[in-house]
Amino acid sequence: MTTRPPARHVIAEFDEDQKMVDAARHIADAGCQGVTTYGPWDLPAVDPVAAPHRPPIAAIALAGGVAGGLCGLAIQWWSTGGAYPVDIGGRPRHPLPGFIPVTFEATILGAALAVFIGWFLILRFPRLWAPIDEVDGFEQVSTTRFWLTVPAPDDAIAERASELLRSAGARRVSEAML
Amino acid sequence: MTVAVLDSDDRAAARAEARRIIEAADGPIIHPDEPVITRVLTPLWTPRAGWRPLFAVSAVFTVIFVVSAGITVVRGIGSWGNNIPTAWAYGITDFVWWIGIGHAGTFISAFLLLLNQHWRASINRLAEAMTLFALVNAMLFPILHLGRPWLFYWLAPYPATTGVWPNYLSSLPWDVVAISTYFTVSLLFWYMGLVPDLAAARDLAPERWRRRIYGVFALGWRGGAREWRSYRLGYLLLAGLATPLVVSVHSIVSLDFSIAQVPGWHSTIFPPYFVVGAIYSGFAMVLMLVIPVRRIFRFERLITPRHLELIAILLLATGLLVTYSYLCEAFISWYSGDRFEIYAMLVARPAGPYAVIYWAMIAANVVTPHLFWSKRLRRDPRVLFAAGVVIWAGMWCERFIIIAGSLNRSFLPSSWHAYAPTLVDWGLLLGSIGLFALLFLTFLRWVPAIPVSEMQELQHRPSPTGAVR
Repeated sequence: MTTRPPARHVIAEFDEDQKMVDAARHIADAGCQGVTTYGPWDLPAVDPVAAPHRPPIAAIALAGGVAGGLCGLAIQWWSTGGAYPVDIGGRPRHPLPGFIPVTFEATILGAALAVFIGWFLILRFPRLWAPIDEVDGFEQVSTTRFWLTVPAPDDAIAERASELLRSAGARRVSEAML
Repeated sequence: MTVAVLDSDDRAAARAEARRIIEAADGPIIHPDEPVITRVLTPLWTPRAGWRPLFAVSAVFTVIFVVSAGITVVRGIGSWGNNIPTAWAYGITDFVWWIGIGHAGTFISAFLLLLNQHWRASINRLAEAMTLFALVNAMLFPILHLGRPWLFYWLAPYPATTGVWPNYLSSLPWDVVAISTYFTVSLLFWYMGLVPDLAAARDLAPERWRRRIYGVFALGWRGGAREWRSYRLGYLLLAGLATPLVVSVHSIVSLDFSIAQVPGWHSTIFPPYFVVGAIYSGFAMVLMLVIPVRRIFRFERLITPRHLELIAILLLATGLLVTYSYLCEAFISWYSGDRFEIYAMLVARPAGPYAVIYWAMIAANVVTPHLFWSKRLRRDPRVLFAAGVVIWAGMWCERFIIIAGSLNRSFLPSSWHAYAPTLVDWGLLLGSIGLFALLFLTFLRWVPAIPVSEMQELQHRPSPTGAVR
């Protein structure tokens, strides 16, 4: 896992979700790249700007489900039919219908574990500290406030971004190394 | 989940319209001015009055459970009232009952999420917790029933030097796999849904030690757009995976019975019948839990009469399905022409040694839900609570009648044998209720009982048509 070196960002705090959504759109339309938004509840409207890439969780779940199902089937096939065969009235050693319930459950278990582990990996959890935590008042992001950050590599972009964010209704705009 | 993006004026108008519709017709789903965060999180810092005495009573019953389980482990299954032919009795009754109760939680949470039923947000956390704790109880009973519970790991496929493997063609190992999968998936689903709220608890906690504990469990959640998008997708996927589990788990439990030849068990209707009964008992228990919780925690403006009414409607629907299953079961036994089936279903149950329990079951499960044709009764918390308790107990009677009632009167009259529970049986049953209550009260004390982020989202983004999104 590589750690990105701190970079200069303009950060803005908003009272209302809609103001932040509008600000994110304006600032992206103005050509600023790398907008990130934070808020106490889910705002799918900012996805195109702040989270444009669909996380590969569905693919991870599919892989986990297939792996789980195959493992479940293999264990039954090998143990019931090979390692420890039980002859019940001459019934076949590999009756596939009898293996369906465990295979089904193992598929679901594999997929669910993959979703959870994949979620951890995608978001690099647990990540108990990040530079933005040092920003004054950021702790309110999980309760009542909305935040937006945008990279500002030079003064001109920083100034332009600050101006846009203020005009979009930010209650506070500042800069930080994130 | 798609949320329409409205500008400020539209939002204000939509909110006013939603409020008008709600208050005119159904009462508020969530009061627009309710301070959700403080309402939900404050009880975590200061316990509500009544929490301590309830916890103490639950602890006493938990001790009863531990003592009864200890007697079972030390003295063996002989300390139970089981005999031959009634080799399964209270232990398996309690198991099937608890696991059934565990089904409404996932049903409410996952199934209604997939159906975009946003009213679930007020009660889903409570229902999921109920599922987890009911499953803890459910898992303990078959393990105790093993006789040598310390060897329970023999049921898992581990590389034993003996070369002995579980028999995967028996429905009992299917149970182990199904229930452990259900518990694991329910736990992941519950925890994933909790993370944003644990972050809120971390950021609002008054003391440093609380902030640290919640902080560790919140994993560093900051509510970033990427976090929310992954969360939304992952949570939906887990819901999609958990929903078929609800159906599969109790279907597999029912196969423990229906693959046997015992009259009263050998029935193809068992899987759907068990699933419907499970959801029915689970909804009854949701009512039993939600009604006191909303009162004690002052959640009346978050869990409104409209929510209770919707649960009552679901209870009515599942109650009718259960009634249909009873009728179908009786009809098929008569139609089969099998004299043992006819005797078991049409004579032994209504007029046999457990006739009182049978008729109590009918009164509780068939008659009670018809109260909810009345809108007034559907919205009366006292009636709902009482009906919940009656159905909850009635479903235990149903499990008992299916299990002990069938075994008690199998093929040969010469092998019929009376069954009566011992004190240890009663201790395990009542003690498990205490254990459940203890776990549930612990949850209420330390975990946000209502999903703060979802409720705030609902509150700030009312649907244009009204309350129930």
